[in-house]
Amino acid sequence: MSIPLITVQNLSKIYSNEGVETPALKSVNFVIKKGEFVSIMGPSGSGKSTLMQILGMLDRGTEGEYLLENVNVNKFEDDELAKIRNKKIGFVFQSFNLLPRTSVFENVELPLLYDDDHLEMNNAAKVTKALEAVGMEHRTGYLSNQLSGGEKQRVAIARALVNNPELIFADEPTGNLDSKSGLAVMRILQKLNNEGHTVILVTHETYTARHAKRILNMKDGELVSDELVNDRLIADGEGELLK
Amino acid sequence: MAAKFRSFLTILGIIIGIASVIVVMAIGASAQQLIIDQVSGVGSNLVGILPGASDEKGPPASALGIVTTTLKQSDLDAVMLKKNVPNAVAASGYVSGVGTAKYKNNSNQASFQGVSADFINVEKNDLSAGRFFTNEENAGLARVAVLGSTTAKNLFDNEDPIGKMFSLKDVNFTVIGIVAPKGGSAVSNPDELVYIPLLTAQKILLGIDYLNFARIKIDSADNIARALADVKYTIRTQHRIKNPSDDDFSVRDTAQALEMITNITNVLKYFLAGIAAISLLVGGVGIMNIMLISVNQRIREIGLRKAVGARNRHIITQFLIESIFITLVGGIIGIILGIFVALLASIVINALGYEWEFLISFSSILTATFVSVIIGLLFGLYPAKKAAQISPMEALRYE
Repeated sequence: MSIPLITVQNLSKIYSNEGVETPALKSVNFVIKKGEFVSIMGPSGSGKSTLMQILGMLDRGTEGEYLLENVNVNKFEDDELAKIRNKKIGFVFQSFNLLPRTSVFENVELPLLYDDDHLEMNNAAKVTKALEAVGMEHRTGYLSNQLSGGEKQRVAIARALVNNPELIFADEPTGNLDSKSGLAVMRILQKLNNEGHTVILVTHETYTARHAKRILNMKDGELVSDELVNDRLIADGEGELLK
Repeated sequence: MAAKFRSFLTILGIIIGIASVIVVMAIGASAQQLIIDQVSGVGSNLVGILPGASDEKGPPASALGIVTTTLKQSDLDAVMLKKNVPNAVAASGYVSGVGTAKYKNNSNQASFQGVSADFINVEKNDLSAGRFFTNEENAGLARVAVLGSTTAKNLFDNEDPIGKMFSLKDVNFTVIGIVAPKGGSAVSNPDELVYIPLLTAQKILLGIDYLNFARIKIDSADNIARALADVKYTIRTQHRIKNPSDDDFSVRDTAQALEMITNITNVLKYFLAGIAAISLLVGGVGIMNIMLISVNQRIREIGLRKAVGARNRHIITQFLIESIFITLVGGIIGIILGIFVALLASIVINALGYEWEFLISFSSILTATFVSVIIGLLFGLYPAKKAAQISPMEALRYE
């Protein structure tokens, strides 16, 4: 629990559009250690999504440092970032982003196809394992558009898991789900965290954020608070239990 | 469903393009074969002499309709002397003209050829009836004729023409022989000709003393090169020409003529195929268009693939494979369609009475396949690169 996984120092992001500069992040600092479950919270426009995209290496900061496992990734080429995303990071999105008209198996397998170092043929075992972790192994042959929203999100989590990444980013993962499905998703994320994955959850809902162990509060591009969750919600069974 | 129909319309451009190239190449090859068959049907081991200079590859002046009067029977007599061209076994001069042939109520416009008595030994001609005229008949300006099979039929209907008299350019000729049917093209058909003695044609029908053309039969194919040189030397001596560049005649052997015809028809064939290939370019632009639409529609997919680790080359490869797949499918359908159309054309042309071979070369199929892959690659590259340049974050945000 003590090794720093993510170190952010004076991280800023300015979007330029036709000469108009919009600051999205203003000199943000924090450290996330391995095994943490952190919620990044804030209203829309607070910069939380920008922060997640930079942490997830989908985008780069304009200024400041971002160290992953003490390595500065700011200067990495796009292809190197893609490689890190492939091996160390799993993404779960609000709108699932499953490939349409494609089987559950193929959707989950996708990251393995881009892993040049491990192109050996045990994909099926890995995919099955990831689907078992989210309780979707019985839907392997289904097409993505034959699934319900909650099932889609669980498949998306399996896809995020299949390469056994260090870090899992979940961007409003329950935003498009009914409360029961949302609960199931949170239960899976907490289980993954218990198994050692570092989970970073982006949400605007306090209720959802309270499933994490720590909350980073964002407002107008600044980190306004960074505190541990005292009354953490545990998604277990049919209802919520206070720890 | 709409997307499938749109893809089909796009592929149609490639299908039509590839099919037209295949059809043009096939019909071109068949036409080429038809012409070559006819030229080689005249006979082998032949050396032709044309009046007028030319370079080896191009057509001589006489072939372009310019009348040259420098080639004479005396040149041919000199060639036939053993000391001049030892390998020459037979020779015939040719003059040709057109006139009205009449028999009873039948009247036909007929092409006639004045040839030497040796003609029958020079060209591959068999007589189906009667005999060919002799040297004596030629020297005596005999008014005798040997008819091509078609002309004989047209003029005499069901009568036996041998021994009958008909008029050509108002001069009466007696039929002494019929040439067995040979078959020909729209360009020239020996079955429609009337053969008469050379001197008779020159003096009585045409009033000229020169030859339009001459052919010499050489004893064997191995001696043709030597015979060519001998013929040239002999005629130069006859015409008192010192410098070969001053030649007022051209000499060709059949192989050369075939080569020339092959060259000319090849140019035509590839020119037509090139025009057909323009439609492939248009098809390629269609492919690029649909690929760009596809990239736009799949921005989120591209973003997701990048998010889970796809590198630029993965994205480029994916879209290139898709565009190549589309053009390859179009190419294969086009090849099948093209072969079908070419087959249909050969059936129709054969039904019209021509000896038309159905020719599809394996190389044209291979080329067409290769070209469709190249088109997919070429016109898919820009959309694929565009797809790869999309930033994963932008792509995921895109709604």
